[in-house]
Amino acid sequence: MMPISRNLRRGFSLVEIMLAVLVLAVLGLTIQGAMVSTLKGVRVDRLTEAKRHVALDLLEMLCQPYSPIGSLVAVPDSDPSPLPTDGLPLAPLTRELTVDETIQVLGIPADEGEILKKTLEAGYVRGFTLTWIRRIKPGAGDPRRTHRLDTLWVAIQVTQEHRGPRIDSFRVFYMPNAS
Amino acid sequence: MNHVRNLSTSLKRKGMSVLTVVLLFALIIGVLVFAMHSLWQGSSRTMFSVQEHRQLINLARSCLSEAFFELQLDLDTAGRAEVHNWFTSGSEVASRSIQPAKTREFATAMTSVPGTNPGNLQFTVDTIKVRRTKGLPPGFARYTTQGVIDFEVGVTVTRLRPKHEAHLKMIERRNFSLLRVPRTRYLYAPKVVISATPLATWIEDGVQQ
Repeated sequence: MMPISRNLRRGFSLVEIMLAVLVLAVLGLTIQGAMVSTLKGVRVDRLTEAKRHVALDLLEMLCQPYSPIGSLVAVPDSDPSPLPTDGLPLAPLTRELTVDETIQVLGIPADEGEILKKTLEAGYVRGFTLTWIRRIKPGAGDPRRTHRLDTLWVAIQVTQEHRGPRIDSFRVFYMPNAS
Repeated sequence: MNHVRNLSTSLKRKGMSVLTVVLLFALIIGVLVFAMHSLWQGSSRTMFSVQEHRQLINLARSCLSEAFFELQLDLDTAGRAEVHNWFTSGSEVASRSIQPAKTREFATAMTSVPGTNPGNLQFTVDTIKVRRTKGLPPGFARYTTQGVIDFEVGVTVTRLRPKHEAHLKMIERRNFSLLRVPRTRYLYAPKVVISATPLATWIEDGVQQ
């Protein structure tokens, strides 16, 4: 093989330069494609993880017999009582939480909350909608002592610019019928 | 003639050497980029499995809540002496099965919402098994002793493109007790009550392909 310094001294032929440019162009395009998909993928992964993390944390906190969901999702005065154990599912109640409210509800520390907020906002996430369906199945026996089966859906609210999958999650849980 | 041949050989040699150097540099850059790409793909797969794991836990918890509710409902419903006997029998009893109908219904709905199922995911929920791990002793001691039951469910997520499957088994232990519930002023009837709070939960690792 001829040393590079000698080649440089003598100059390069047009064929050599064209060959080198061609090879570099092909490899450059391949490398650029891989880099772009890597960076996009990392961003989507981080966003997807953040969305699911928040959705499942909300479910974990709100879907249990001592759930604070009643204080979060307002029950209208006109709403029928859930006490009768022979009724059909009650009309769904919804509450839309902004990203800030969600962070506050989950009690995420301020520094982590800032990072989470930036990640979600960069992914065009506007907030989370809670849909609480009470009494999907009524209990039996004394209505003041029995349980009823409820369900809670957490849907992610996104703006039009959002790309990537939406992640809706649900959980079936029981609550004291009187709550 | 010799001069032309030498020139041609020299050009070929120079061409080959430049090409070799260019290829070497390009190869080094390529290796670095593809290493980064592979690392991301590896972490992406790990992250996907973490997400799947969470969704499977979510489904399994829904199933076990529903199973608890259904079993207590059976106990609270008049005329279900067979269920009561299953808890209070002094001899060994076979495990029971419960179908988590509501969880199955919602799991299907979850993957049917437009835009929510890009990976063609399919969640399946097995039949829930309930085992009586510890029965009640005979006599009056049965009113002061707690029995133990285990709920067990398996949930699976399947992605069709690219093909991937993960499975998770969750077992939840609850205790139950026999209460004396007044029926009239002087008449008490025994009633089985399952604890609304689990004693413990086990999660067995999923099988991933």
